Amino acid sequence: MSLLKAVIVEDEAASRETLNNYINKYCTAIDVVEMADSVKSGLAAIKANNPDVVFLDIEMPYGNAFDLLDSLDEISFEIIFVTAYRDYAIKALNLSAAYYILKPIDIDELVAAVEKITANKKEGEENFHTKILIDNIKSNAIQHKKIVLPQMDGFEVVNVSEIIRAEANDNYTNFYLTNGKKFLVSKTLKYFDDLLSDFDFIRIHKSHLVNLQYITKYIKGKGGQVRMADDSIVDVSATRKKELLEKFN
Amino acid sequence: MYIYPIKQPINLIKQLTYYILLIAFCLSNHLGFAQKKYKQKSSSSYSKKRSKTVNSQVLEVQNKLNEAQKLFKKNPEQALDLVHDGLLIAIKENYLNLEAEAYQVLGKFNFDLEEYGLSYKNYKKSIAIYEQLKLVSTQNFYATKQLKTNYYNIGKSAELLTEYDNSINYYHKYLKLVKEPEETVLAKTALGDVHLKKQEIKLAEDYYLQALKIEQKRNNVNGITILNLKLGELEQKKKNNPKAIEYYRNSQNSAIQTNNDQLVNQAFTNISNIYENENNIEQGVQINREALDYNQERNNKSEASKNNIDLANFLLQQNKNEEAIQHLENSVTIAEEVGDLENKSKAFKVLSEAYDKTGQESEALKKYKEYQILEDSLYNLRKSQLASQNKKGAMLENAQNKLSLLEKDKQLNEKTIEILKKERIIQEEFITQQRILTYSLLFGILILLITAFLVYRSNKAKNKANKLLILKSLRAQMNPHFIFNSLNSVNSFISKNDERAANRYLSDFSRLMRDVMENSQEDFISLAKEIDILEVYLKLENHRFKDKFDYSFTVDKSINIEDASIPPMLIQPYIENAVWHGLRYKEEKGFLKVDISQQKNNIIVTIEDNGIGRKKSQELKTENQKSQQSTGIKNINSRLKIIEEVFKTKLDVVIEDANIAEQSGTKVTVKIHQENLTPNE
Repeated sequence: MSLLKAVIVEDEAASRETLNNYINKYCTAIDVVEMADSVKSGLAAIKANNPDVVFLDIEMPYGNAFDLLDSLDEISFEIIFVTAYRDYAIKALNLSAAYYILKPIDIDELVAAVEKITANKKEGEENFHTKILIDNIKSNAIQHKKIVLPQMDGFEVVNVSEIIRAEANDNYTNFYLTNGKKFLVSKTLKYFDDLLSDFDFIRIHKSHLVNLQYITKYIKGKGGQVRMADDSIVDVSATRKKELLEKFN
Repeated sequence: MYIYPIKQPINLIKQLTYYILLIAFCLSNHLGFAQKKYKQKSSSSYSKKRSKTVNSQVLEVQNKLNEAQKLFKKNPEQALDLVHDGLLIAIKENYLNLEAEAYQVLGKFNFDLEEYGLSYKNYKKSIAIYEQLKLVSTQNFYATKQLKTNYYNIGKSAELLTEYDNSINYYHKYLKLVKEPEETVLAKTALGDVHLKKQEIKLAEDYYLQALKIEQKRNNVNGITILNLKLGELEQKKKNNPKAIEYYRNSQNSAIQTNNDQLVNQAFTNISNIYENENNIEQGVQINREALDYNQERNNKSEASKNNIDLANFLLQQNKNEEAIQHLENSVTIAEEVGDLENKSKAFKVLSEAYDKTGQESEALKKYKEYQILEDSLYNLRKSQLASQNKKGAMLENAQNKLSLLEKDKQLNEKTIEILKKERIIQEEFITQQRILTYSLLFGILILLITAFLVYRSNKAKNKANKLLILKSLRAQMNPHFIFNSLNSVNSFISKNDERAANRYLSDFSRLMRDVMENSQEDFISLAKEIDILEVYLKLENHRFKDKFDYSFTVDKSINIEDASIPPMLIQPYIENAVWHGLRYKEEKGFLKVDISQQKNNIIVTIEDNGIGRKKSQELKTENQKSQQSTGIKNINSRLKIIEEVFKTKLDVVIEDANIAEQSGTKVTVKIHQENLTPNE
């Protein structure tokens, strides 16, 4: 099997070196063909090399990673984002279940990300994470934002606005959609609570995350209950009742 | 009072204000109610007549007293009623002046009714009140005037009660108050009278003579007449008849000047009596002839008739019977003319004796019969007079009863007065209670206000504490970027297997972290410490961006860096900004200059770079980058604000372009004011 061609786009020399050193040492399936120190030189390197994978630092001078992606017509490579902080970008990455590693670089994390990508390449799977990421970045309206829901056997991509509610099921989460479908997703409810809080979702119970848009009725009680658009009744915990009612006032 | 834990200070203060207002409202209501109650009480009790003004009531009493005095002679009973009414009001309303005046009027009435005992008592009450009023400055003049009158009058009453010592005492008091000569004369004459009655003739004579002297000095003929008369009577008592006659003659002469026939005749009578007692017939005849001439001349018929009788008596003793009978017949004629039955009767009696003496018995009998008829009619006259007198007496008796009733009434009134006084005391107690209540409520409000103030103060302290807490968290938050980037650098040495460099870098980084953590507990640290931190920080940053910039760090040696103080990690974010937003974008190698100097009481820190400048840095940012703001500068601005508020420290930060013309480079000047900073020697 031929080596995967890789390009590193990273402004900081030390970080660039570090990443290059680790890849060379621990990711034998990858061949770093070029390193760039800015968005501009990064674009040129990508166009020149047509890489299989790009290690992309999010924050750089003269534009960030999304600026780089914006300026590409087609993305035919896998991306492993590299970032120093858990900031705003992380949410966008998680929404599309994109691959990313945090600085200072954890070698295990790096190896795992690279392995996933090599596996994808082997099976000839489409690089849909990046597409969804780009779509999400480009569309400002909430109803057009998509989310990648990782399942046992793959991924399901749904519109955020299609989700009526999510319910915790041990370390997994059940999603209920407007078309009546139900998915078991291999992530915790907490993970989605963080991810969807910007999209009018609210945690009304330890085990329930609901889309405010689909609440049709509030039934009084100690915590009370809500009836959703699909006529399901969901408990509201007493501690979260106040927060819920505030959303309606 | 329970003080709620303060979560929302503003709300609490609002609440407190509300309570204070509520209490104030209750208080005002309560007081209003109390006043109402008080009014009700007073109107329900003694002062129904309070509705009238005080003035109109005073006038009412005054009118009653005036009316009574006018009415007294005609209808003493009604007059007493009026005084009684007036007195009642005066006592009830505590009009002392009017009360005293009423007693005075009663004293006068009783005197006129010859009830000297009662008169004396009333005057005494009047005097007692006026003597009190005299002590009040505003009442002094009037009270003194009234006292003067009362002293004289009570003296008279006492004199007539034969309580001479009392009388003398009061006359003396009167004498002390008088100023006018006629009043002095009145006093001395009265004193003379009493002493005379006490048989203290010498003292009496002294007073009379003093009075006479005054009257002579002011040439008051009437006074001279009377005093001479009195002195004559006094001399007569001393059996000094020639002296007595001399005074009588003096009196008579004065009386003639004023045509006071009564006193002229009084002198004649007194002198005649002396001669009669002395059995001095000749002088007796002479004085009576003189008197007769005098009265005939003035046509004083009644007196002339009397003179004729007296003269006849003397003449009979001289056995000049015919002449005596002639005078007696004259006397009868004159007496008849004026209807003087008494003299006519006397004349007939003496005539009868004269005829008897001359042996004209039938004539004597005839005259005697005439005399008896006259005596009979005189008797009847006297009887009818007595009857009328009795009638008047009955009336007086009635008035007297009234007076004693009044006395009883007075006692009753005194009881009511006592009750009224008690009521007044109760009212006063009520008012006192109200006052206590008011004061305690006011006290309550005061406590509330103090509590509010304390709460406010503790709020303020809490606020301050909160701000300090925020300040601490802002410091603690200082720089995750820096930390991660630093760790990243360590990672890069590891990746290069450069053990020595990794170790050096890690040591520097550890030292920096230690310093930052230690000092993050402080609000201010010494400038020396801050310089240490900045030195390491600059070294580490420079290591990361070796290819991007060189730097210099200078500190003015004259600064006492141990005494100067500075909020920790205040400068670092500006350096970071200079590197990340200015120097990092620069194509060629840049330069960072950090300088610390002193200007008067200010420490000046300048951070100057020759990077791309703020404007260009902003321009270079893409839409995707602008969405994330520099948290470092936001933090520092909040910190600056809180530090200024809490510590009242003056902090100035000026950010400008280092190269104004090219709008490139950035210069940050931080000015930190120092209290009492002495320069390093």
